[in-house]
Amino acid sequence: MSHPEQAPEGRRRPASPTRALAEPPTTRTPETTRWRICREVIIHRIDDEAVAYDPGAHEVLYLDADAFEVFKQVDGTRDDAAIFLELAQQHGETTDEVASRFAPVLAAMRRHGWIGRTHGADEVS
Amino acid sequence: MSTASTIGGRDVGPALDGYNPARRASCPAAPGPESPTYYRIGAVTVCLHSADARFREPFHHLYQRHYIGGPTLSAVHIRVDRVIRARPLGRGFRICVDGEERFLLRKPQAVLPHVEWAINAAVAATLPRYHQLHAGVVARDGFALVLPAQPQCGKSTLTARLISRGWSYLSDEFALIDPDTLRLDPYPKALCIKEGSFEIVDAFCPTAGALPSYEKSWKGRVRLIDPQALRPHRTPWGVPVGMIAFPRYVARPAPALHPLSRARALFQLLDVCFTFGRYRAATLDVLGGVVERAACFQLESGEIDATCDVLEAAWRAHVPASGRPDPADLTRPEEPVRPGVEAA
Repeated sequence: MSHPEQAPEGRRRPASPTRALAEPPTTRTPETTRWRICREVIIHRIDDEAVAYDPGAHEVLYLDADAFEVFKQVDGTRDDAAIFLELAQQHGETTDEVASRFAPVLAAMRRHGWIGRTHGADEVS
Repeated sequence: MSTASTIGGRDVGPALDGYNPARRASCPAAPGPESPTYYRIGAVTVCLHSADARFREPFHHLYQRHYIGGPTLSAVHIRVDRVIRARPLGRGFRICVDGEERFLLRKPQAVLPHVEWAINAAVAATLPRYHQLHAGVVARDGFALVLPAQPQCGKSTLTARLISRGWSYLSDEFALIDPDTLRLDPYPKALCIKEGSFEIVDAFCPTAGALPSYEKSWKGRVRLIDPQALRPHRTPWGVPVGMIAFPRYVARPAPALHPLSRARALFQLLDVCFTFGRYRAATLDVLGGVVERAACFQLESGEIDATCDVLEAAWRAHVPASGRPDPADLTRPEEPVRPGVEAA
């Protein structure tokens, strides 16, 4: 299906950061939800950032240093709290500080459909 | 101004507005009307089939330096024919690429820029081997400056000014990346300058004002400028990328150059990569290799010379004349782009 923002090769043009920030998460994430990457992804790492590529959907995702930190924690075994705790230990910050910094990143990844919830082996979104 | 042209004693109607064959006295004669003419324009070989001198001669004038005598195995074949169709088109011109109709045009003034457009589309769709970016490319000191951007961002105007300031020209439309060497090969097509930039270009290229302007569909009137008319120079081949600057025109006099992380630059390059759909994951390796060796910036263009000054200052700082740019010298952005994740 064509999309007004669709590029000639079928890739969507990048959403503007402003627009991405303006869109609040549409659903509240249960505290117990564990996150997993729900695509076959090729990661091209440069310095402390990365570009993720999904060959199936032919979509790319830019991950700045913060986003890449979060992305690496999304392995299907951690929920929000576990991710923030891990990052807080890495950064020497409180969990609240880390949560306020990284929660929007997690929400943006979910909104763009790169991560989904798991309960055990069953992916529910 | 309008002049008449004839082919084989038969009047074929008015010539392109402003095109004066007398002005071409110093040019080698265009090949005969019936024979296809071959041009090797850098990495792109074009064969023009047209019996109409109104298109064949100005095309030859633009590309006479690239004229090659005989046929080659691989070329983009462009044919321009007069056609008579049922209304509403009536009499007009048909441009075919490799045997397939690409454009039907009513006015002769629209033919030449659409020939150029058809060639560009064929290059993007069919040129083998290269990874292609939509970008202006110039070179200096053995390294290339790549200006990737969507249309209407001022690539061609900026490229033209840089040529006149001493840079060598590779292309105003394509960065052709050899995947084996990660170096750029040229496609030194005529620069296509849109009407909004006529005055700017006239200021540093006085002869441009005498050139004919053509109609290019919704893009408006354009001029096609021979890059050698801006400044005679050699076209370099196999140039490594020294710097990448993504231009964006901002209506203010002072230009600005913002350092860009290389991952961000890779992401933005993918958005202007014609061949991403063809080479898929391999594109990341090639473009990733390119950005890792280059200084990357976001350019907010302003007044043309001030913009060139800013670019050249950054070039001197980040791309030493000898040896590769040292990635350790590249400035990182002070503020990461929020929210930190962006999809395309």
